[in-house]
Amino acid sequence: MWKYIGRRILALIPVIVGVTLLVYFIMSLAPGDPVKTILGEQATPEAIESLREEMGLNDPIIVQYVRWFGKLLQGDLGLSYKSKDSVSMEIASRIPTTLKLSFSAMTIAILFAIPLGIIAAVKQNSIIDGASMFLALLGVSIPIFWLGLLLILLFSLRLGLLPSAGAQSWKSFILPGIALGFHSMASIARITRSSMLEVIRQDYTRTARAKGLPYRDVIQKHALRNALIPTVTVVGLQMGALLSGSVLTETVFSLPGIGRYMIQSISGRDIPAVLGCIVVFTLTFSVVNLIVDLLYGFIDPRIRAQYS
Amino acid sequence: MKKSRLISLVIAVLLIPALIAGCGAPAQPAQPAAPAQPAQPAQPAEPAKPGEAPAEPAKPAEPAAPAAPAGEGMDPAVDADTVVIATADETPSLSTAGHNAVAGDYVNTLTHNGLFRINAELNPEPDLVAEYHTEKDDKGEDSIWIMKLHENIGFSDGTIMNADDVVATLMYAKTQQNVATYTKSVITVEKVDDLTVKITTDGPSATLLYDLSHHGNYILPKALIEADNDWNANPVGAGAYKLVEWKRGEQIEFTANEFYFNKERTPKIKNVIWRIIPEGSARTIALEAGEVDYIIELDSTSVPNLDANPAFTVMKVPTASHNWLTVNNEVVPFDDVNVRKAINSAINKEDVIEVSINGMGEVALSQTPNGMLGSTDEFADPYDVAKAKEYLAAWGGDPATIKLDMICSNDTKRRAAEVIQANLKEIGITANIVSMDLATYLSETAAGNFTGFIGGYTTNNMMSFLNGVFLSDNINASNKTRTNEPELDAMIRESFRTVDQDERGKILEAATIFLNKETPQMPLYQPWTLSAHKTNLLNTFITGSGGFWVQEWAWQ
Repeated sequence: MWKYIGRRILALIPVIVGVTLLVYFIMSLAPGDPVKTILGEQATPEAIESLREEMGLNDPIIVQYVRWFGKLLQGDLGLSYKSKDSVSMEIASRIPTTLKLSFSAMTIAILFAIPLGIIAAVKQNSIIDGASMFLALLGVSIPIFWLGLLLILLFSLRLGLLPSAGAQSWKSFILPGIALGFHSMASIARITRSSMLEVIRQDYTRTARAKGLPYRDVIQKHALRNALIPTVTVVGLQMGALLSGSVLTETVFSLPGIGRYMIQSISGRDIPAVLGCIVVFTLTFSVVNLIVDLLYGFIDPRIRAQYS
Repeated sequence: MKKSRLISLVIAVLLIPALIAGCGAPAQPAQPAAPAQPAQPAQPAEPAKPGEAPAEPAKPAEPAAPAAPAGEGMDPAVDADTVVIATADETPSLSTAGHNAVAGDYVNTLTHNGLFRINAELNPEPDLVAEYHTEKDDKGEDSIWIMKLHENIGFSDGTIMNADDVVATLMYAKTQQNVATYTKSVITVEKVDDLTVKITTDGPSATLLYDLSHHGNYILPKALIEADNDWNANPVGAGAYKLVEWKRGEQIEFTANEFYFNKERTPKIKNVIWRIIPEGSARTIALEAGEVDYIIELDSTSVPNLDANPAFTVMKVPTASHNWLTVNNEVVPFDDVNVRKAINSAINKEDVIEVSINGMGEVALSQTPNGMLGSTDEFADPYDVAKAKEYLAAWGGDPATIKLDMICSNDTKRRAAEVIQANLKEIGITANIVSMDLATYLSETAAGNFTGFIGGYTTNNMMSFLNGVFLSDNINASNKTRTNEPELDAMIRESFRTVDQDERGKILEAATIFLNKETPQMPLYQPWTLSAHKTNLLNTFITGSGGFWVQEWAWQ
């Protein structure tokens, strides 16, 4: 097991090198000069050249990348072109918000999606099934920003129950969590339903029922556990969707998260900040995938046996 | 059948709240018992009417009368000692010299003070300086400036400002690329005594006092400059407020600086919370929900709704921001003045304003901003399609051969370009709209890789405007029309050296007339600054350059 984990962690190194190299080259080759963006329309040619030299932008791209990667190996993500502050510090101050948002969205998604998927499967072709799947259809169809604005209008402006913007308290994460989690909920509910439908038609489920076990036990102990493996896979993949969805959600709800920071950095050609965000996203996504793989073993003893 | 009816019912139940929330009018905040008229914001100038004689230049923004009738408004978002301000952009830095961003200027103005400041009429007036005069240099020119500071100016760390701090600050600012241009005319800065400095400029300088009002030259403690202070963590200045905490991406909190020197302008509201809300509609909702007290950048689409609600005051102030369609004057056929004038005359600027900024601005006819010293509409072309065709005939070419690609870096510009595209079609010119992100747009237009683009320039004085937009030295930077006219360059340089305002006004007006005749670009509009606040927040006003002084605000 530990060997497996070690191998997976080592495999992260080429992934990070590949991703950052690709992003560095794309950002550097894309039209748009970070210096002109920083100095604005009023910049004089002398000021532009002077700042370009100071920032090391006159060096070849590969030299700039190697310099950046050397610092990364020492845990230093460099200085933001825009704020001149440490990117590590900028990201560290924003990560808690994105984590809280992703966690609340995923919690809302899982809490509603799995029961919804199970009920829809157990009551297949019933009104509950139709309503659940309609809700799931809405979830995948409604744009996050539009749902976010509707939630703000209803719960903040009309009812005055929840804040519309900012991250002042736990209440601030309820509406963004719903807006972001609704999409994931839909995907998870649909996969749980189809997975459950497949499992409850298996022979061992029929056998369990034939033994006279109560229906609830058959579903909970025999069917659900086996149906969860595809669901866990989708939950893991949804983490990626949550990270990308957080960009929109953070903008609509004015949350100071890493998604919004990355978009601002891309617009400003702030390459160290963009790369810092990419490293964090890559690490997060890889770690979540690793956790999902390990969860397979926890859920299914046959897979656990393969690790050992 | 029964099942499908039930499903329809479920759908209807789900959609009704969405429709109510999305389409209904927003809830009105608690109405006062005896409503009174809200305070009037500064009034925008009347737009010039196309086809008529050139309009008078817009008057500089007048401070709005204190907002405020008894009983109006909502409770403060936090308490009576606090004002919560919503803004679209976060400052890149709290340092005064580490950025050249408007968002940064706002917060610098809270925590720092300059030797001078720009008043509501867009003129510099003494701030930290108590008195000043000029002296002749060896050549007999007024290039020596003697400035005496007020006594007992306290920095927010409790130390007292003296001439050494001024010398250190201005020399430091000269080394900072973001703001170095604002000390370009300064040759030396010397201490005369503890409260007096002597600034020597490279000849008479009409821009020095404007430059000293820029945030890049706000005065910093010498000891902190020498200690390589982290200004983002410790932005010590002599402003009315001091930093409490900066929560990146979320908000910046300030509290009153107990050492602030100007007792007449001591903050009336002790605490300021500066909240970053990037999305325009989210800012408006936050105001309507009572979560913020003031919006710096109000979405033009929100104006009718807030205008109709006496609990809120909307301020519409003409600005010096000049927006235009630029064509590359080095590229054929845009190097021909008749082609440029034809395009300029063919654009219906009223329509551009209506479509791109919801009517929240005034027509710009002149090549220089209305409301500034030396601005005039003389020889500027109004909207006149017949005249445009005459210009094309004078050019002699086939309009169908003209290819104009208009680069746009945001939706407002794209909407303006759509109107222009339709207008130009009427005179046979095909124009295309090209979308670019801001960074690419800035690089490509500065490098001259374009035939046309929608752009603009904001500054608070005519000399800086002409210098940035039309001086040939700034080709490949901010002179994007790539105008290269020695006669115009000479006039711009002369204006910089003319301290007498009347004389300078004549030179600047001559430069404007020269430009109106040449028409290097096609002026479109000057937008209004749109801000909104709770009506019971008093003494709010906006200057023509978009500035405001939070320390003068008060709750009713």
